[in-house]
Amino acid sequence: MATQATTILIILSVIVIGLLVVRPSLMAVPGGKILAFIALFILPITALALGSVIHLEDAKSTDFCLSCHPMEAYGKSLRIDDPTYIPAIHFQNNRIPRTAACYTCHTNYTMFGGLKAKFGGLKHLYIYYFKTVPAKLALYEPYNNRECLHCHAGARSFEETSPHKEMKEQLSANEMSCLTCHTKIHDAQHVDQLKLWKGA
Amino acid sequence: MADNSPRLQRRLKIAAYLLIAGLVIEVVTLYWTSPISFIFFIGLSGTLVALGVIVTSLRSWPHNLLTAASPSYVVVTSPSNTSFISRGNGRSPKPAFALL
Repeated sequence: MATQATTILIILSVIVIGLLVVRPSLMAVPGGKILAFIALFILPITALALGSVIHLEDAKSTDFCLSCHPMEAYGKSLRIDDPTYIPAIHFQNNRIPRTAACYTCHTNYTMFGGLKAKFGGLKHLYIYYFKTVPAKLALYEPYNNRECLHCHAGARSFEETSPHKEMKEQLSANEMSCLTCHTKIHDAQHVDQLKLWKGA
Repeated sequence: MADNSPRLQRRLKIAAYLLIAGLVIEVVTLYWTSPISFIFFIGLSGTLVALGVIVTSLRSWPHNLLTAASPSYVVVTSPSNTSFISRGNGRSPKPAFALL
């Protein structure tokens, strides 16, 4: 919806700008200066701002992440038919929004992270288009518990069960990784040998 | 903005073409779901639109600032005694600076 609205705005801008180029005398008529100001300043800047918002939102989508070939195996791993696989069980049971599955658990990845992460994202593009992508991919930094705790912290099923209750402070302080116990994550290397869920 | 001098008309056209190119590229990137589309949006569309806006801003500056290399002057000594000292190409019908 936002994309269509922005497209209409851009088409309108292009028509008015084109009109001003073909008929510059329009700027001499009453209101012509205001029309030119809107067409040459307000509309393009608004279109650019709206475009940035749409692109940033789009970058959170699962389709965006999986549009790169090396991510396909990670996308497949969300469909592993085994409840012990953490990303798969979250994806299949709607514990995370399916349309933004990657971003929900990787909130500081590439352009959503700091300056270093943003440059990391540019490096990924460079490697993807001009170099050879490594066979095994890894995060630059250890997985941060914050990604789990932004949903689980405060939840009764998490706070009151053992062993979470006993190690709550360690987990909050990131001294112990959630992945120490929850070891089954994407397993992209072996995803082709695993049974996949055929559902929605 | 209503100034019809050929130089300013040309600048307006350049600004318009830059803006149109930037906006058309933006539409293409909006319907292209890929990390590279974001780079095209920021790197190409954003740059072209920004340049278009800057060129438009230059166009809307006072004409005297754009023709500063050949200024014209007016010296006003009293309301009833106004004398003009004109220099440069004389294209500008209005004086650039008033020295009271």
